[in-house]
Amino acid sequence: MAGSSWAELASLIALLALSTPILGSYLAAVYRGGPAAGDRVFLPVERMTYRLLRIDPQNEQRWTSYVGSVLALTIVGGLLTYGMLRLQHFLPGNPDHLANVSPALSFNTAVSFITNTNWQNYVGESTMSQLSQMTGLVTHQFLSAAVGMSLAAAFIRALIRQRSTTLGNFWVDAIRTTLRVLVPISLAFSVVFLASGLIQNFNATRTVPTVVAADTHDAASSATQWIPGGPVASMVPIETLGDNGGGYFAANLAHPFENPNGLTNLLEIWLLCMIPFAFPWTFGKLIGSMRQAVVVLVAMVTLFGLSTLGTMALESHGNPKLSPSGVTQTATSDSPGGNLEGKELRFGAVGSALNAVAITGTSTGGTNSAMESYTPLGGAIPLFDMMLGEVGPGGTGTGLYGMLIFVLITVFIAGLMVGRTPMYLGKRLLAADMKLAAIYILILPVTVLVFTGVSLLLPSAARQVSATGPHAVTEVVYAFTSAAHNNGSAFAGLSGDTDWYNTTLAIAMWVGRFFEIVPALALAGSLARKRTYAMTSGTLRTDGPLFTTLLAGIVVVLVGLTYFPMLALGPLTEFFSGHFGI
Amino acid sequence: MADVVFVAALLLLTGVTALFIVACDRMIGRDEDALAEGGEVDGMPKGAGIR
Repeated sequence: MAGSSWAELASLIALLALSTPILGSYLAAVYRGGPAAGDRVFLPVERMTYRLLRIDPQNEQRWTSYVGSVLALTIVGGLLTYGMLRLQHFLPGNPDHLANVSPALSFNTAVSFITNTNWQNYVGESTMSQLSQMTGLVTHQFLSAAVGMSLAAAFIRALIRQRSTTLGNFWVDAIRTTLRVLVPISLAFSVVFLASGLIQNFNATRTVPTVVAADTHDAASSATQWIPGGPVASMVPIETLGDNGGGYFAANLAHPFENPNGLTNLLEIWLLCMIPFAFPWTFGKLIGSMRQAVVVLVAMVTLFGLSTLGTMALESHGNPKLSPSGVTQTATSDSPGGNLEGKELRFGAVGSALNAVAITGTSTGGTNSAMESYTPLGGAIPLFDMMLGEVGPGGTGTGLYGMLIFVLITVFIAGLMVGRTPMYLGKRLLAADMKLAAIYILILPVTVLVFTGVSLLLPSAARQVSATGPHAVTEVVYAFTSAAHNNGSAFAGLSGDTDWYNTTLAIAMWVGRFFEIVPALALAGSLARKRTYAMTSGTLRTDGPLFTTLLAGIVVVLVGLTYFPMLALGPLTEFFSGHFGI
Repeated sequence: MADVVFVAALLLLTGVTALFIVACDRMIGRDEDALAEGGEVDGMPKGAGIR
């Protein structure tokens, strides 16, 4: 890789090394509930919000009430968004006079945004009005991120408390998260992005001559193009910070109005990694053991680092299939080199690969390149990152509790191997705990594999896939993996705006969100009720390098075994047939 | 008509999730009840994990 590629990676590492302890400590103060930085500004707003919404901040909730509150917020928000999309033609904030969104697409989009997936079966600039984007969709980008972070806070409390039936108050957690974390950071970065070239206006789409036509005044080249407007700089910060990924434009972070240059690309990748990497630090602060936090953080960094280096190396090496046609893939003064098909020249192969890993290692999904044009293995790594359950580092909050569930499974498996009592942070793991962890791990593969299998068998669904052979398998499995894991990135090549895909992808998104949240919170409820036992010489240590290695290995092996047949039928077959003619 | 179907689908998904919450709560409850009564939970003795 070129020196500039290493510089880009080093800059991201430096930014994350800066933000992780600062934001991690701040989040710990926010969720501890005592005095926190910014109280003078935030506390009055917080108290007023509690009064307006009739919330008693002292009223703690059982896990069932906590998750029930999440469900209530989600379904009310989902119905309102569905209604707004169906009626957008009659509402203000629609300068392009766009039509109402169809029922199936409204259903898919509402479920997509309430579940933090942001899968987009539509072209944003020609389907969604500005009001629909900035209220109907952006509201959920804040709320769904706050939900994930609140759930992580509740999970951490479960590990700290003993003989407790409650996990905190969801409404308090969600309001504090939104007011004290998501809104201030988003506001600050809106200004930065505005200064960096992102647009922010309420203009209707303009039709203008292309640059060539304007320069030449040549009637033969009097081509025109559409220049869309919209409140973009205010949407991109929460799109990335909240690991949402739903962009204003169809091209998402490849669009020059959303991501105009290398600096904004780096800042956006930093934003989407910021909270997931900070949460292990928060975990360590809250449980009072940074050694335990380091285990989680190192496992996340290892998974993220290996994926990043792998994808960057594969994409910067170029596509061997293009070489015989005389395409130059080496770096020159006007080309960054590498596999540039489907990639923006201003980001190059490396800037695109870094984005691809960051959006799939987290639950963001906001791509800046065409994933379908990646080399078979270069595209398989982001797919595998999602299959890992997005724990390296994962989504906002969801990454942390996802990794902690893998920790519990590792403790259980290691306990079986060496004959030690399965115990984590002094909590003994019982049968129900492991059943819930197993449900958590199995729900996603079952959803992905069943829907993929049926879609490949149904002729009407298979016709929506543009490719043939193993690439077609990858297109379909990528779509359902992305939906079920609440990622939202698209591999492209699949026409998703059909009744079948709108409905099944929406069901996959819902199952991937709530059928994961429920067992995770149930597990938290179970852990909170246990007493804490003292560590003895017979207790398996969970704070050393051996356990960290075991944890990362368990994550990869569990997922690898589950998804290997599908990976073999898709990207691996494509790689071997392309390289060795097998 | 399509609106009714999709709104009903959203409510149905919510209902199924609510049932899933109840099922998971019962699963934890069985463990707790059995332990409180001094019994065994799926072969595990009271207060113990796997030794």
